[in-house]
Amino acid sequence: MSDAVTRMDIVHSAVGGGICFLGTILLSSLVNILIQRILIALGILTVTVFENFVIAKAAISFALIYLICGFLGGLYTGYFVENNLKILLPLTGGIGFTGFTVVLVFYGGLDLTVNFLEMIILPLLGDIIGAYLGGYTISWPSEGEEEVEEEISLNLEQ
Amino acid sequence: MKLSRPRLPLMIFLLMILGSLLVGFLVIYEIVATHSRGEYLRLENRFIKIDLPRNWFVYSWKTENSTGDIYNVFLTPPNLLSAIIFKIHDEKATQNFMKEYNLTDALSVATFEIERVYNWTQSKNENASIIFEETGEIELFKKQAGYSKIIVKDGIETDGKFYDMSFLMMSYIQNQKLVEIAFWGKKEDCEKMSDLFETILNSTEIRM
Repeated sequence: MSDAVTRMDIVHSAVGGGICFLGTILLSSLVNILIQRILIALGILTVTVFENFVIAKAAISFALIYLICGFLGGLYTGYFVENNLKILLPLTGGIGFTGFTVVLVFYGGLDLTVNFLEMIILPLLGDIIGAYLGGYTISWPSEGEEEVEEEISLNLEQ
Repeated sequence: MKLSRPRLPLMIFLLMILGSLLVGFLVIYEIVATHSRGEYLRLENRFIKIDLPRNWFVYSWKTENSTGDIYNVFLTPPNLLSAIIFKIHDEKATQNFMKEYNLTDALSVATFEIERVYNWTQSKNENASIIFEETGEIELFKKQAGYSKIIVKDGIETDGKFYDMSFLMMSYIQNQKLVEIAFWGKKEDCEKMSDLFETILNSTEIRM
């Protein structure tokens, strides 16, 4: 089995990045609405005006947008690619992050210098960590599979 | 029947999501706990100290440019069509604003803003007309402030219908810094909010 990265591996990784990117676009607006609805339901919508709310929103967005989208992209890549996941999964997360950032800069007028932690560090980390976890969730041997493999090896010895 | 254990990366993923959500909501809890003043949340910075109702849309921002700095606070309840706006100008912004529009004192600022809003409502609805007007001076934050109030017939549009609009503008100048406070919206909604507006105003301290 060759360990070289094939063209199809890169294509699958890019498609995984595309899934991550589209998921981020969709979830980012949904999560903003969700946060607002939760705060209204809790009767504390005014908290959004305080400086520390940026931290809270960044942590919630990290969980509900970037980790989940990176994970979904990673699931796709992990399903179609068997080798070189260490190289291809960050590519998946990186493509998702780059696509979203480009959209925000060109269509949302995002100033990267102002929102560096919220708009660069956390999305990049979330997408890449999510992609790794998604990719390895597919290739990780489950307990059942390990047992089956042991049984097969015993039968062969007999 | 033996249940198989979830895969490790999936468990890490779920734990990271739960952990991040926990951090987010703990920070929100901390904000509420720290700023809670009875039924209100207190916003306090170098420009303003104000007790805000807990469940309102509130935005604060600062515009900085060559013509001076302006700190703004915008408050609006989620279920009523009305809003309160605070605008705190620094010396340079005050000077430029007064010079640009040829204004002389706080009362002329209030009158100018009233005119500006009325012109804006007329651009939205040609049939909008002033049906009530009041201008004068009042004591605000222990300072003499100019105020002007109008009610514009059919001045505000919502859900395709026009309603009477109420607009109250107050302004004062202290240490060459201009403070503007506006209270506007659908007339009925402003009437419902008037007591709350007074309570908010009484809790407010402008810092200059």
